[in-house]
Amino acid sequence: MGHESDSNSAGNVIRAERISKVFLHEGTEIWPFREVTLNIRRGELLAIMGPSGSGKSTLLHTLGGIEPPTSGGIWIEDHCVSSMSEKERTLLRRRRVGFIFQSFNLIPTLNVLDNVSLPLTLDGISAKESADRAAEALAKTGMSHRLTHLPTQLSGGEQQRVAIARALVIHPAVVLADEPTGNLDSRRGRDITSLLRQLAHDNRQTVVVVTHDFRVASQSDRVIVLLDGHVTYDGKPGSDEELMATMRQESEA
Amino acid sequence: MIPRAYFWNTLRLRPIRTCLSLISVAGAVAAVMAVLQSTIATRMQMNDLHSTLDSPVNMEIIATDTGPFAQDDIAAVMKSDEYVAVPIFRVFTKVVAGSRASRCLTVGMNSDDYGRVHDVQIVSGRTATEFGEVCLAASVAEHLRVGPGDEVEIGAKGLPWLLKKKVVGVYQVPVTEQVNDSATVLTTLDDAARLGKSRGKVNAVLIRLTGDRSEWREQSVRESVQAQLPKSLMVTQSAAASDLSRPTEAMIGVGLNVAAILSVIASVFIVFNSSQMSVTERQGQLAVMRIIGATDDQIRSMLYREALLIGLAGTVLGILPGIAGSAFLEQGMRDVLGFRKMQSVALQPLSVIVGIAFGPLVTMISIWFPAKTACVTPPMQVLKGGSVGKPILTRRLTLTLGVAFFIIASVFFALTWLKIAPWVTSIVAIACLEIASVLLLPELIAPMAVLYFRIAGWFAPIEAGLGHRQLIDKFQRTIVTVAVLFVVSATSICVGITTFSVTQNIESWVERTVDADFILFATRPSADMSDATSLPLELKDEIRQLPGITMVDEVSFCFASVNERSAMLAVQEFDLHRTIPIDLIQGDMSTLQDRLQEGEVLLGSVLANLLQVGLDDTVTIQVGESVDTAKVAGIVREYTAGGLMMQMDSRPAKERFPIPDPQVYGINSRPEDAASVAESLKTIAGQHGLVYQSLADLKNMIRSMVEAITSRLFLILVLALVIAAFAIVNSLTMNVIEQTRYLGLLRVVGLLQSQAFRLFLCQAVFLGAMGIIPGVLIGTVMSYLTTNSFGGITDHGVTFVAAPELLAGYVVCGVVLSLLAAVLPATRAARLRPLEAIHEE
Ligand SMILES: Nc1ncnc2c1ncn2[C@@H]1O[C@H](COP(=O)(O)OP(=O)(O)O)[C@@H](O)[C@H]1O
Ligand SMILES: [Mg+2]
Repeated sequence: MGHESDSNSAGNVIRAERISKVFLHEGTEIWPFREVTLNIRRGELLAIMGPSGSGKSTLLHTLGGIEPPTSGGIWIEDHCVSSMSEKERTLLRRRRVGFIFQSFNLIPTLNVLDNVSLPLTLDGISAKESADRAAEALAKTGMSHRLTHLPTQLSGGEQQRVAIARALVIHPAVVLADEPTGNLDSRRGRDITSLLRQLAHDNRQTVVVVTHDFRVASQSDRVIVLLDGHVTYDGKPGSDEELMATMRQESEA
Repeated sequence: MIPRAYFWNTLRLRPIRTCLSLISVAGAVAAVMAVLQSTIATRMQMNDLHSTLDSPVNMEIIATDTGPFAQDDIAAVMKSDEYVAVPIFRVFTKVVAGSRASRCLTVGMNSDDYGRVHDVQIVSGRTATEFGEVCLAASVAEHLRVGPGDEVEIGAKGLPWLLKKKVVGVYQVPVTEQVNDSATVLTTLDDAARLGKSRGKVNAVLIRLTGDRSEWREQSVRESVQAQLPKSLMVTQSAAASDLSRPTEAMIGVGLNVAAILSVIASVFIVFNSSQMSVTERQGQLAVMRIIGATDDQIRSMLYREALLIGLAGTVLGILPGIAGSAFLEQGMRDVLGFRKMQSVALQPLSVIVGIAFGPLVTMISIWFPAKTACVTPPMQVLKGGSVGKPILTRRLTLTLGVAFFIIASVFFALTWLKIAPWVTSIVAIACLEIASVLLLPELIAPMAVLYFRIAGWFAPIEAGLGHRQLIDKFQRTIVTVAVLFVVSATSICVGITTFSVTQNIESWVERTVDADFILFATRPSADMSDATSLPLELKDEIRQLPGITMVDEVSFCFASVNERSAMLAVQEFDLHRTIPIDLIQGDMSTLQDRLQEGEVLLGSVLANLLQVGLDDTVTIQVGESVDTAKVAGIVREYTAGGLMMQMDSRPAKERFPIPDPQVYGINSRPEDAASVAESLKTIAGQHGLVYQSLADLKNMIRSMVEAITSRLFLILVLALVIAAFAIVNSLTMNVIEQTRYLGLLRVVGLLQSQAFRLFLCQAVFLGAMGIIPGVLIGTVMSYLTTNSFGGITDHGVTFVAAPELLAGYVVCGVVLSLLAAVLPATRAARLRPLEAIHEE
């Protein structure tokens, strides 16, 4: 799948225009990213890379509507996230955005099935239907056999599969994953990576993944590199050998 | 909607948290119920204690010359909604039945008035309604061996012959009322007036207030009655054995209100603390829910529903302990006081209703702030483990508020001291002081922590260092925990020491003024009695011979005039008493004995007022034909003879004045012989037709009542502490949970299980000590101020009695409980398996 910039907004799931974010910390301003413009196309598997503290997570959360940008505009499927109220953003996240975290973030007091059906239940969908849909999502991530287990009874890789199912269960416009393999050993990490890739390719599911792992990046359709709050690279993995080499070094360090 | 599964699983899968929440609500509900219950119970009991010591008669109208007066003179004041007025005629009589005779006070009153002022219970027969009928006190009837239907003959001073009367009934007044002036013969008004040679007249009107019997009300009634009376009549305070009664009731009222208010504050604090912890613990989960699409409303309504459930369940759990606590109190009271006419303290609907409403309501309110915080803080910030929002109470703000409250408290105190504001203001001031202290407490915690952990570091450097860091890192939580303990301790100690002081004061007042164990008399002195019947002289020796007798004090009463005004002179042997049995208002107790021995006199306050004389003034006294002057050595509170009373020591009095033979013997015995002495005295009284009274019984009753109150008090205080200790459990559990990873890491790098355990014990001792020790100190100050503010209610005030053993016991219990509270979280910390802990998020 090509990455040539598409001016047709219909092809873009997320459109970000000149977005900036500033935190005020004890009087000084911290700019995790500045004037970033980004279009994410439907079905694309996008990897965001960059050294620690370069603003990847903040960018991801802002794109997903967890936090509003300080300036600039964000559209998710033509909904203008940047001008929404907190509640509207919440409802949008509930229906259109799936999140996956490094630390899984499952609800420890809910079993696997309930964890996955949670976004649907929150949306008022009947228990029966949400359970069915959750089971379906869990099947996709290969977790059908553990429906009644509690998160603490699962391994890390299994927990992340459940978290992925929870992100998928709403059939989101986009799945945003922040270092999903960061807490896993390399084998589980590879499993999760290929699962994400498979989802993106088989289901034309848009996935944005923040990662340090060069192997993850190399399997993606497109990589952007964030340095000091600016996009310094935007292209196919491996097309800028020099940059990629630095990134590789860093990820292996 | 947040699924029901979450709701139930949260409660089910976190049993410790659920238990802690339930216990804090149940504890608070039980505490509120028990405190209210014991407040009401103690108030009832105190009222009873006072009605025991106190005459139900609030005041009397008598003539200034103490003689009879026409009923027309008092017609204007007889009808009122505010009080019951009963005209009576009192006369000292001799009642004869065959060969037996008894000297006693006869009171005439209309039969309708029986029981309107005194608690007269007819034992057999009926009341005297017709002329010529009498009703005898049970003791007199027994002595004379007569009953309804028999005839007796009654004579009075100045009557040349005995009059025949028909006994129609036998009555009793409660033992307790006999301490005062009770009649031993009741008859019609007309009968008594004729015995007193004053047909158609009365010589006193007893007035009993209806409803509120507070001192200020009595004062206003007294003034309005006095205003309507002719100059020849005056209103006196009734001969109350306990003038302490009304002001003390008011004091207890204040004290108990303070208790109730403060304990509610403390309970609210605990529930708030628990709710805060319960939400903070789950802030990560709540943040995740918000990220995946739970709206603030959904989160909030879930938390409120949970709070309601916890509140209801906690209340249900708290009711039983509350009732048990109340029942325990009631049973205790009855054990101690069951032998007397004592109101049984039933479970009060008020305390149950307040308790039931309190639980869910306070729990719901307590969730408001944590719920708000949970929804306001950006979810990612929570997940990153950053500080959760800004605390609404910053250090700067608490400091400012603390100082402000302190100033408010001081101003209010100043206003009450200067008597600009009513005494109620001082209660507000005390509450302000407590709030000020709790707000200023954080300023103390950090430096004290440095000191404490430095000392602890000598014994366990690693644990102390880690413990210190954790408490300072989670300073907000540390403050809240310490604050809970502080509020509970300060409150309990304030209430405890105040109650203790009041009971000690009552006890010592009784010990002071009721000196004799037993008294024997023929007729009691009263307003209109200038010459009571003398006791047989040989009796004193006979009594002295009894084994175990330590003192026989002769008391004589005689008619005298002081600066030309009639009064009664009471003479007794003051030097026999270790402490002079009077209630001195003005004068110096330390030199009093000497001054009395030199022939100086004590004046009743009413008399001193009438005469316009004060301490060290000289008065002219006339008894019979003898006239002499004497200096006033003291002014005493004394209501015998309507306060128109003067007291002298027997030796100097006899040297100067013709003092009649003694009419009352005050007798003391060794405690171990009390029972046999009592028996002998009863026999002697029977043989001579005298009245016998045991004041020892009265004193013992009061003593055991005070003991009962004190021991139960301590129990209640410790109970409050137990509930407060849950704050420590809460706080430390949170510390363990939050630091699970950190602790795991430490364990991996070699922190021993025992060290992890000690780490939390070390913290618990600090939290406990920081809350309890300042709490006890401030509580004592608050109690001191409370007892002093009683001075505004009454000129008595209450002497502050700090019971060091009570305070020390409390601190020790507190620290031990803190250690116990740490065991659960500390064990949890020690049991963490290092690797799992690292992975747990
Ligand atoms: N809530 C916040 N307040 C202040 N600074 C923040 C906050 N969140 C992130 N930052 C800062 O923004 C920068 C980017 O953070 P982040 O997006 O987490 O980087 P990355 O995920 O690339 O490691 C960092 O310097 C971080 O300190
Ligand atoms: Mg990051």
